[in-house]
Amino acid sequence: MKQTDNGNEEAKLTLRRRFLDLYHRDSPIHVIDCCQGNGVMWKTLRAEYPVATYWGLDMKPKAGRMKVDSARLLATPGWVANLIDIDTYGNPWTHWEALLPNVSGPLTVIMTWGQLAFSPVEGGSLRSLGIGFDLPTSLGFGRSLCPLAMRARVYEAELRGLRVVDAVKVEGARGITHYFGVRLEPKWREEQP
Amino acid sequence: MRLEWRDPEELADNPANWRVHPAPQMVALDATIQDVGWAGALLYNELTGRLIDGKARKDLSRGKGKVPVLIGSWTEEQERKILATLDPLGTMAEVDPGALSALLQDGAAIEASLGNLLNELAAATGGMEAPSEASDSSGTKFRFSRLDPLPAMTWVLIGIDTARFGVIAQAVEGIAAVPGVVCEMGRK
Repeated sequence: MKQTDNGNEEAKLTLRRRFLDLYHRDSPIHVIDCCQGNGVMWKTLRAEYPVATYWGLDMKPKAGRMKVDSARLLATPGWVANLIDIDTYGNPWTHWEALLPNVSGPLTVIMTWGQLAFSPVEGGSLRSLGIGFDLPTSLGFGRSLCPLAMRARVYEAELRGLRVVDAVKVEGARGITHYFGVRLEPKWREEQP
Repeated sequence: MRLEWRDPEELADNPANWRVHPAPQMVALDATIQDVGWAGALLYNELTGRLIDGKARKDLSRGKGKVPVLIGSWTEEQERKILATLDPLGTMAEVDPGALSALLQDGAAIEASLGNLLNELAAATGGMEAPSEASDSSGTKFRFSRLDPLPAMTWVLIGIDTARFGVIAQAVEGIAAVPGVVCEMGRK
């Protein structure tokens, strides 16, 4: 089956526009698009917003695109972006964990998380909720735990020297995939005079 | 009526006060006062020597200096009427969606600067949804709900044969009714 999530383009665009309007009006926008897919979404947004640099990545090869493991890239210090888009099919937490240690300035992170009711919740999310063992998938807890785990994982940033300035989820999208965004700032910025 | 700054200790509680202030409300109230300062006053009846409104603010302010107090004179009967109607009257107000929406549009900047406060409030009130709304070009409405920090959680996993679930069903329903409890059941 082709792994895409194109049924909620408008919800995704609305979420991105919110963060772009709120936090990226007055400074150049530097985007790393981790799971570029067909690239339509950022093509639309680049027509609306003055994106200074856009780096589209994907593991699937395509003409004009870099085939790069974006999670590994984010785990490497030195990347330059103030908006990271993790529109995964599955969960974004590998990317999230990878980028947190390397945030050096204000950063918007847009994420997609699809969690089926009867699919296992990945271990990192269970641990973030304080559940230190795997749950039987037959329990069907996945859909219930997902919103809680999302909140727990987002605020893991606070343990990494970052402040969660803003975190919202889109309501009203079709299906059970979660679309959400987070605005981060390094805490050390607040300590400066 | 007149406005004075008074030491909280001078303001006797009202034995007829029916309002109970749970911890989340106190946390949210404290966060608001710390963030924006005083934006209202306590209400004190000098005739009876009792506080009519503002017990939570008084309790939060003990040892922190004087608080703004509106002072008036009412009979005991009038005082009881004020006590009974002050908050209920306030809750009868209805929402003008346009005005609220406009406020929250300005709230782009407010939201950014008060993000932490709103998160605290949301956490304190058990998960407040940010009442912001956006529409896409096709007119479909999407809302944004704020993701709040999770409170400390304890998990209890109960395994019981389906046939025997009736033995604990009532207890489970009781636990599930407690605010903050997430209760999910699955069958195997």
